[in-house]
Amino acid sequence: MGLPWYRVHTVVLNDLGRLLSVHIMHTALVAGWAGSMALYELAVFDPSDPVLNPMWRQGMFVIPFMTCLGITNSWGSWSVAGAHIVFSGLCFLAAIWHWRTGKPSLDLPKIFGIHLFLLGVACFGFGAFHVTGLYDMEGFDPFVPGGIASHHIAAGTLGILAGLFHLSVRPPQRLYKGLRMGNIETVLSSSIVAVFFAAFVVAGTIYAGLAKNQSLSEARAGSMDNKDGIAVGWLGHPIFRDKDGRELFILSVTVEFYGGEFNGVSYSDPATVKKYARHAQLGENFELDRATLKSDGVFRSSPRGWFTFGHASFALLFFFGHIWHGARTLFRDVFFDIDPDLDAQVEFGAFQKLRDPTTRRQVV
Amino acid sequence: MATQTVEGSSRSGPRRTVVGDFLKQLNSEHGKVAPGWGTTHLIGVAIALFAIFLSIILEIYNSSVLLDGISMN
Repeated sequence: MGLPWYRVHTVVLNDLGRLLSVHIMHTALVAGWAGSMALYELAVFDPSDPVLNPMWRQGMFVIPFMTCLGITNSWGSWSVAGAHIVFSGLCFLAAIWHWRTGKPSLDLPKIFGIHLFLLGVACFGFGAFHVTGLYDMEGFDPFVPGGIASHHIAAGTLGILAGLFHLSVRPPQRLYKGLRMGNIETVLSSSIVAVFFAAFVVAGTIYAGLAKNQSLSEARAGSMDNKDGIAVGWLGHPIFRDKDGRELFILSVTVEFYGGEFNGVSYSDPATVKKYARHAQLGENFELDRATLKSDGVFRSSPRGWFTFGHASFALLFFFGHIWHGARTLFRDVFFDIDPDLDAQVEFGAFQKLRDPTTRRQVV
Repeated sequence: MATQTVEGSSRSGPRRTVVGDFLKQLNSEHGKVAPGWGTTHLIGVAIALFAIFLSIILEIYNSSVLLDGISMN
């Protein structure tokens, strides 16, 4: 009777008004997540100790990105969060407005040209505003050749010129047919390319620490065996004795702290000395507050680790998605097995025309 | 389950509005193509040049291409 669950989204394939509507709704969700995540992080973030309690130890995810883009104080962050929520709401309303049915035909090459031109303008403007300081942040040097502002000015110029080209020249018939430019699924397939390409680039640069002066040593891959080697035997408990048979640390070794909270303090009892010797082998000693967050001692990955893993995984999935939708586009006559009249049976909404009760559906 | 749609009013065509007439100019050339291969060679040259440009700036950034006056440290 109805569609199997893995084909339900096909109901918007041939209905461009509703296709647009679902995309706008998705944008509303994305912006809404960004704003909500920013609101949550701002509510729980403790900025009082950036040295011992930096944002990445508190599990902050979007705040580091906002900081990277120049939002360094509280009012800026709350404004950005609010702006995203408002934008999300507007997108929600726009999605509802566009939820109308019909079978218009879209001039996709013209749409491409318009979008490319507008994006070129926006990209150029972004770069130019950073150079002029209209939308500025401290410590940002716009004249670095590989830098952010200069890139956007160059890419924006290219976008404007290319957009004007595509608006004035129609596609050749050979390419129109070869790339199926009349079918919206070709747009989907090529858009997926952009997404997975960006995801791979970003996973790699964050992993290798190239994006924002991160340290490479924080992100080495591999298991603990790659660090220490593979354990093949236990050597037993070591007991250190001097030439007179006395165990080391009993009488002659003390521990004294320099700097930090224990500055000047020394211990000579063997149990305490041994304890701090063991801890020192593993790294610097810290006093840790385990009560506030009920810390459980279980290892957790850093935001950077999760970022790399997540983006690499999604990049791979999106690569498969590109192959899938590209194949569907190019071999549509082989894949196509859905009755084009089926959408008359699964139309949603009480009225066929939005808000027009005289077009109420009659069940036959 | 089949549904039958009921039209509320008879009309001669889609609804026309000021904004719609303005936007119609942008969506009036559906399916229009240039004959044969058109500007394909031009875009091929542009793609090749862009690829060379990207390779150059990548290798500058990677220090595989060294230029006087540009140091990557």
